[in-house]
Amino acid sequence: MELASSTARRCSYFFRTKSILILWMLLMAVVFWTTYFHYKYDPKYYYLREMLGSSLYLSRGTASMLNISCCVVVLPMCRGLGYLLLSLAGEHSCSLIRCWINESKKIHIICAVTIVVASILHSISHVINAQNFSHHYNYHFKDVNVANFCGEDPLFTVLGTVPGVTGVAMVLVLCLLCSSSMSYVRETCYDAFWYTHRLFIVFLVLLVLHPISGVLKEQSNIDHHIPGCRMDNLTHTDSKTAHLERLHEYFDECVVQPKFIPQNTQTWKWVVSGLVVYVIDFTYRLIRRRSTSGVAAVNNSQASVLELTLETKTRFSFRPGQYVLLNCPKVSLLEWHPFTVTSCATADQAKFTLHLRTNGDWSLFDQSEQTSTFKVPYTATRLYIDGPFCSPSEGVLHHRVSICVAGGIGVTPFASFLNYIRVRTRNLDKLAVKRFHLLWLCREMQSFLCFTDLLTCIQNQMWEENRPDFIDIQLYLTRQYRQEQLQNILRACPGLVYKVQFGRPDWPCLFREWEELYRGKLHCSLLGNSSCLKWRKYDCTRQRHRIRIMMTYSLETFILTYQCYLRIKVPNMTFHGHTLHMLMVISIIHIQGR
Amino acid sequence: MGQMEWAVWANEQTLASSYILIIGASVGLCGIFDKWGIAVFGLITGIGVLFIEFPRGLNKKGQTKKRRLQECIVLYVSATGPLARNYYVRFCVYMCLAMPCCFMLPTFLGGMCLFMGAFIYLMAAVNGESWKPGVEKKPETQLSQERTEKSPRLTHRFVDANDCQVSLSITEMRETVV
Repeated sequence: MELASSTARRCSYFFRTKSILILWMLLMAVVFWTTYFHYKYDPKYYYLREMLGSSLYLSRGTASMLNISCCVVVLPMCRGLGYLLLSLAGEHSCSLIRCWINESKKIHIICAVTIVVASILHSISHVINAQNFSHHYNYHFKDVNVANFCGEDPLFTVLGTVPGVTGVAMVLVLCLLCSSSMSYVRETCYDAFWYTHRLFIVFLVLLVLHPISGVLKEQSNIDHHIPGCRMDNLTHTDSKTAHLERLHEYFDECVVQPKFIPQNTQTWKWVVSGLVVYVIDFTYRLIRRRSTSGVAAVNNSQASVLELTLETKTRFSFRPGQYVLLNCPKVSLLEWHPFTVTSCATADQAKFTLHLRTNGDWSLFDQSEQTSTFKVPYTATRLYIDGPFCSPSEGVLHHRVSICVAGGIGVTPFASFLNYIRVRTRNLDKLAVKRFHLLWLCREMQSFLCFTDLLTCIQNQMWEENRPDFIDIQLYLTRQYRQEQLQNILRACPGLVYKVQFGRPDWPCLFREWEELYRGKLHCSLLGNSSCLKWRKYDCTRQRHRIRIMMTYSLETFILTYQCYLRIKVPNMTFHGHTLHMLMVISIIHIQGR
Repeated sequence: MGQMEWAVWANEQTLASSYILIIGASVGLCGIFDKWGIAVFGLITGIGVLFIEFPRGLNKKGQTKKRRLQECIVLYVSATGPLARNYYVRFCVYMCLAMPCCFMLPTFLGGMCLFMGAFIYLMAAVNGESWKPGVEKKPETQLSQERTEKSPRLTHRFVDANDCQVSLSITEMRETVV
């Protein structure tokens, strides 16, 4: 009984986490098989089948897979669309939609892999088709042929037709796209990936042109000419179908020659519909894109973090946890970099703040000098803003208990939550979240300083409102310091001494504490950055043996490689006979150097 | 584009073209094609390129992300000398290898992809990059050198001025600090 229930649990968990993949594979299988059998049994394609054999069905089956996946592959990249969908659905939007939008990159990759696999099969089958076209040249009905004469070199057959040339070009473009989007290339030279990926437009245009000249022909006059009725004259008579034999019982012979017309192509409908959605999304983002009227304030007191307060002409509305893309034309015209909005949107002001950790060669201030100075006079600097966009960390507000683990600058989404809560201290009961644990881990003491004021302020406000249990903030300093160094550092930052703990968090102890605190249903959101990811993963897997958590890890990278969100799902944990529903989301904000 | 490392991309591109070449050559050898000699050549070329390209070299920072099992063949690859080390040599060799593959339909696509890979290698060579075997030196980032502190259990270890470890309980440590 125990075994059966655990198996059922594991199965349901598997189907929930892999729902997208399973649905997609089912769809692809259905599409493939319907097209495959359509071409295998439809009498219109009798003469093509005579020449090409089974590679015809394979090529057509994979072609329809390609049509659909080339349409779907652009949809997850419409971030404006995702934002609109979630905004329309409101704050209490369906978790499935939210989950799908958050996993948009995963969907994109699944579609891309489908395209690659289908293209390989499609190319192989067309290579064989080309050979068959030239070897099994049809002397009786010359219209159906693609080759010019019997025994033509298939290479010239392919290169002499529009579909052949576009097909070859598409495989080359696809190869470039794939090789440049391997994870190692994305990590080391992001520009190669980013600029090469713009070739997708070329790919889609070629895809529209590929079938449009109609090389593969179907017979149009089946009523007047029974396919294969002059079979004794044909070179290949081994594949009679039952359907034709039945027809032969009624008709003795045909008098009319078969007519061949190009097939109706469906490809452009799919590709154009995908492209139209993409273009609409892109235009929407262009319209929404705005320039800041100026930088209101710059706080660069911390060594590597720059606090920018930006002002826009119109009111800028966003929800906590969302991010914007920032472009500084004086640094680079083409580069848009994502940053989480850390302040809270209020009705009366058009200001918002961003925290920028300087890393890599795109930075707004000079790193070469010891004291960080703004590259250009900041009041005159014009920055461009694209966004806001949704991020998975928005989910923190929708769960009863949120346990957030942040590493370094990864705290920015939570800073915006804290700001959000700070404005709403008087009506905390209206929020879905009832308790907010924040574990913030930093290597350097200085890193804590960028949000010291916020943390102190919110703590005081919570005490004033008599709700000190609403927020639990724990700070961890993880770097190894010598004792005297530590004392010096702590003396330098007096405001925080009472909260900072040394070393990494004691996870088993914390888990035990949460286990005692929250019995019943519980949602946890864990956020951190990639350097803490390794040991977090280790700790979670070690925990799994003790408290039987099932976990999967899926890394999501947004726009550029800078923001990575990791999602851990922990379904149906059993503690002391209680069943816990836990959802942990680890989100990593990892700013990489370009 | 200052930090661009062409060799990383060229490596993935030629590896992908070696897969395409192997698949294409296998199709060419299935019995229905005439010029099966080119298919044999394509198969050997594909396997050779796969062998040369499989181990990732070190990048400019001296780091790499090893492919699975690359340690087994990286020594053999570095034994090929200039072919492995110099990207100009790789460019020339791949151009020569890709040329015959373009005379047969099944290996045509692989050959064209290898051409593009060779051109990306030319960019890498012009950029002054070269292949360094990524096995002798274990890549160490700055982060891994400065280890993070283990989570404190009952006692917390510090290193004093003479590098001796001192154990303090958390409360003791707080008292000393504050």
